[in-house]
Amino acid sequence: MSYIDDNIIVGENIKRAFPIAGREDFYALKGMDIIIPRGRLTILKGRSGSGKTTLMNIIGALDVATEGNVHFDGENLSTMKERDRERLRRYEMGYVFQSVGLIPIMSAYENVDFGLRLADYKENHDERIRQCLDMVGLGDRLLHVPQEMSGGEQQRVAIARAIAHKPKIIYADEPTGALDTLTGLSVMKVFKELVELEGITIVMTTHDPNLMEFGDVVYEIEDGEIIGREEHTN
Amino acid sequence: MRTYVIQKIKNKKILNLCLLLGIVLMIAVCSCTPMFERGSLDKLLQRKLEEKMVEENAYPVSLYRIYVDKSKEMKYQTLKDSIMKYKNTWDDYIDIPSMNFQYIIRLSAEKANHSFGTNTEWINIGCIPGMEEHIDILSGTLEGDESGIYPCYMTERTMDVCNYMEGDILTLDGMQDASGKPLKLKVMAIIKEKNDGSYFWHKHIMEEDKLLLVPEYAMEDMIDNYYHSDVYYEMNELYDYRSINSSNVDDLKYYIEEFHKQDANIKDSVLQLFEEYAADKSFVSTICWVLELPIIMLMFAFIYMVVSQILSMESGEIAMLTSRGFSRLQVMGLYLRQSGILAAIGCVLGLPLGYLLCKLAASTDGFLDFAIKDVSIYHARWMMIPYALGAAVICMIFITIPVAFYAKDTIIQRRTRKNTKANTKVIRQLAFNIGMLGISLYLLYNFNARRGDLSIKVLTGGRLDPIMFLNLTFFLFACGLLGLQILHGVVRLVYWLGRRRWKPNTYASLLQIIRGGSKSQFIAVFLIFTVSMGIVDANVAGTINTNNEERTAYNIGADFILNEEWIPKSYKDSQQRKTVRYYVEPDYQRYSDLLSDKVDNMTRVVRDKDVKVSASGATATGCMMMAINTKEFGETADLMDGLNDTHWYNLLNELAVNGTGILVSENLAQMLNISVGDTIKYTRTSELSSSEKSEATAVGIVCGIFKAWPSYEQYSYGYNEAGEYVMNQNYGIVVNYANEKNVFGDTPYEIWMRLKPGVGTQDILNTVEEAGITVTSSKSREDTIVALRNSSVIQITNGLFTLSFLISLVLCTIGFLIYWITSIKQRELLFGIYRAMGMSFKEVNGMLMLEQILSSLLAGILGGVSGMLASLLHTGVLSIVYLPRRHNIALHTVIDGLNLARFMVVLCVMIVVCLVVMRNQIKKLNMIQAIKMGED
Repeated sequence: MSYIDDNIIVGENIKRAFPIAGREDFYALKGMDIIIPRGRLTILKGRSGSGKTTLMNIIGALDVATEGNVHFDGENLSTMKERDRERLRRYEMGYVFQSVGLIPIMSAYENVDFGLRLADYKENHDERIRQCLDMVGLGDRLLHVPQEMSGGEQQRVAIARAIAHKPKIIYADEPTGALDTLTGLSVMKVFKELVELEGITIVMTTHDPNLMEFGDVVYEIEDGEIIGREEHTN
Repeated sequence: MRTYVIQKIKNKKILNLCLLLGIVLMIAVCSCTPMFERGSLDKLLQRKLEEKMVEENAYPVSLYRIYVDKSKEMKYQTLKDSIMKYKNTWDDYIDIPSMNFQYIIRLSAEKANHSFGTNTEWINIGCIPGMEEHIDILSGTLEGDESGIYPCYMTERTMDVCNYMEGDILTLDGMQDASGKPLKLKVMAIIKEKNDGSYFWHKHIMEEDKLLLVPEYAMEDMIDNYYHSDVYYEMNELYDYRSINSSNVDDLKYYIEEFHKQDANIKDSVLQLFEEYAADKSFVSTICWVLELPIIMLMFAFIYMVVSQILSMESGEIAMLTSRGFSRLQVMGLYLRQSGILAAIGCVLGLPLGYLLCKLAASTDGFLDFAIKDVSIYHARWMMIPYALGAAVICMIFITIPVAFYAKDTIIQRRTRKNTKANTKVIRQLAFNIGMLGISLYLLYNFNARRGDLSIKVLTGGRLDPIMFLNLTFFLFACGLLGLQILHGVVRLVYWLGRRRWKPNTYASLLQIIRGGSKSQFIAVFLIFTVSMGIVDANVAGTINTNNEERTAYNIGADFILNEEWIPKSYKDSQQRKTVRYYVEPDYQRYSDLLSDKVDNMTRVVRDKDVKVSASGATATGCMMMAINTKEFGETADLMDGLNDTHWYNLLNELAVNGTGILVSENLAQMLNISVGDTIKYTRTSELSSSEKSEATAVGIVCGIFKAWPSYEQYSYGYNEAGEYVMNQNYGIVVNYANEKNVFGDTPYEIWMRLKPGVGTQDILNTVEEAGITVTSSKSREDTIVALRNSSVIQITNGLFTLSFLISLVLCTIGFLIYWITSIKQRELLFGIYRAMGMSFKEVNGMLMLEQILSSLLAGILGGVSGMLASLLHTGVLSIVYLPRRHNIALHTVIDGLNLARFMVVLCVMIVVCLVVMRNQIKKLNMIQAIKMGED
């Protein structure tokens, strides 16, 4: 296997500057090099404001680095047009936001279906939706709208939506941030199962030290720089 | 706390500006009410007084007292004191500037012997104090020149009638002093009324036959020192009618009535007019109220919409305050302060806006037809301030009350409530909506069934049930709700039919519409309501204006109708030993010569409104007869198509080929049970007391039956013998002029004219009068219609409908924009998610566009349909107020395409603007920021 085949994302010298009126630009990322291995759960760890979400946004094609290159599956995200980034987000990637980001007017079933429609999923939608919701343990909550579900349940529906179209990678930004410890752990279990059973790559951010054991690779970020990398082998 | 409230306003600038706009408009409309109503009433009153002045050729407001003293003991000073006492009493109570005060003291007729002994006449001696300044001396002087003989003056009229000359000395043997010396008068001057622009001679009291006027000292001497018969006086006081207005007219009326009660000798010229005004006043107030109510309701709906948007955005903040220990009243107090600040600004802006709106409404000549004219009669009034304050307070309460609902939850309860799915059963809602519509339709059916009674009620000045007008608002709401539900049903069906195939943006749009919640439903109902209200306003105004004008045009029958003075001639019939009077037709050819360049066609029309028609034992009296030259009449008169079963030219043709043929009105044919081919008789009575043919009868054959005929009104209204106000049938016949002339001889006729384009009534009258023709009366269709358009009631109606229409447009546009802008703001996170999931900018835009089309555009169209439906169903009932009389031209709803197009163009522009604004908002949307916002 080649370097690219082993690693789905390779980022070099990633910098991200934000302009501040009347002052010098603020660098949220100060030149990071990062590698995300394929089929593994990578955790970006760091305190609030350390730059992990900014990094996630850049490697997730939601934002563009001010300097440096990010290669996703061999394609350079930094030089890519917005239309191509949209394509990647739509077909190749899945997201779980800290805010959950479910569509409030849609039921769990419809939220997952919406993700499938966006990705132009060719196979049987109904079967896949049920399968995904079963996978996250919500097979009996198909018709419930987000308002009728707890935070953890909503987060699991968001995971189901993110994985439904079989993306190459899932980005999860503080997926357990708003959840209690038990619910957070159950979400992490789901992630772990997805990596193990479906072979999906997951990148997530967290500041919760209790979750580090779930990660195959853990990057520690501080002040816009990677200060440590740990690899866990099971 | 004040800083917090101000900060709160600043944080939601746009919404608070919209709320302010709603408050400003509410205050403006409410505060302009007294100004508009009072101004309209003043205008109505002034117009009535001016019309009276023109019709009667006399000053419209006067109070006078005629008194006869038979005691013969009365002293002049006592008499004068009595007059001045009355004047002072009147002036004390009547707070209107006096324009003129004048009186005449007169001695009853005495026999006057001419100095030459050749002429003896019964003459009156009178004195008008102060007249010296208001007369022209045609010859002679006012000073007397012989002692023991009083000077007197006469008019040319008296000079002609009595055959007196200047310098003549008259001896009145019936009037002697204590020594038995008869009164002697010398005619010193011939005088006439001076045309000095004053009102001194408004009553031409000097123009009496056989009146000799004397100076005041002479009259005093005659009354005090001569034996005389009765003494009369007549005192007149004129009041400035321009100072009479809606504020003081009731007082004036009250005091005049009181004067009448106190003294039967006091008369007035204006009380009847005030009575008519009082009836019209309640009518005008009703119209103002009726037309403003829907506008006010519309504005309340707007304010509610904005408030609910603000509150739903601030619900978290409110819950936070409640969780921190704020009581519900304290939270409401915060919003009361906020609304208080807005209401205060609203008063400052609303009052001048109300003033301008009033001026704008007063400047209308028709619906949405503005003209530059003098509207100074509509001026600012103190009453505007309490109205504005009242509106402001109501707005504050209306804004604050919904806070109570939000302020009862702590942050936890709010979350729980938010997570509770509203679950109103579709069937229950449908039943409710159908029920509402059913009630509205039932009320409408009832009002329609009672149209006859309601018309009579309007005609007799009765007040109408306000539910009649509220029902329209109710109907529009019901239509809006039901229409929306149907619309939702259709969207659901569309969604269901393609549920497996819809692209993600269509899928999301359809679900957003189906499950968008009460707020989006409210904006849709608001849109439906404003659009339908605007359309109803346009259609009702169009219907009232058009029907009124069509009926007026029909009642006149031609462009211009003129009556020339016919002076009867007479001769002595020696056999019957009586004077016989008769008419000779003036030279009709003169008109052709004079008016050939001004008139396209003209014809003679004999019209008699008191003809007796009989057939086979049955008789109808008081029928209208028209005698016409068929060809000329057809070329000159106008009649709308569709009023008769056949074109009226066919009826003219039937009459033309039957010299003795008669066209009869349908109601007359039914009443006499006659049909075409039957023979009938009609009898006319001459208006001359001793004419050649005081009564003559003609026989003819019915050759056609008409329902409508130029100027023939089938219905009239009046009191019957039982004192009830009822509708009566008028009957009509039309005959050939030649035959009528043959039977009845020359009788006065009207001259009907079709004018050339651009020729005005005054052109015709000037030409005719310059040729020495005396016109006794004339009627112009155009002038009558212009006068109708300028009538107070029509102006009020058009003004308020225009105002309502414009406010509907403004609120509809702003309401729509607010909804969509805030809706996008509230859904920023969602759009961020869509974009993050790979949905393109174009797709998000398309999604919103589809949402717009399926909700707003369809709601707009639904509003249009509801408005049209309401116009068709309700216009009849609403028009009872304006067109209570039944007419040959049945009331028909006029759908003004231009106004509809105006509204639809505005709606489309609004949607386009909205799309542009939304596009910019979406474009500006920072995806990362939006997702981040969700985390916050």
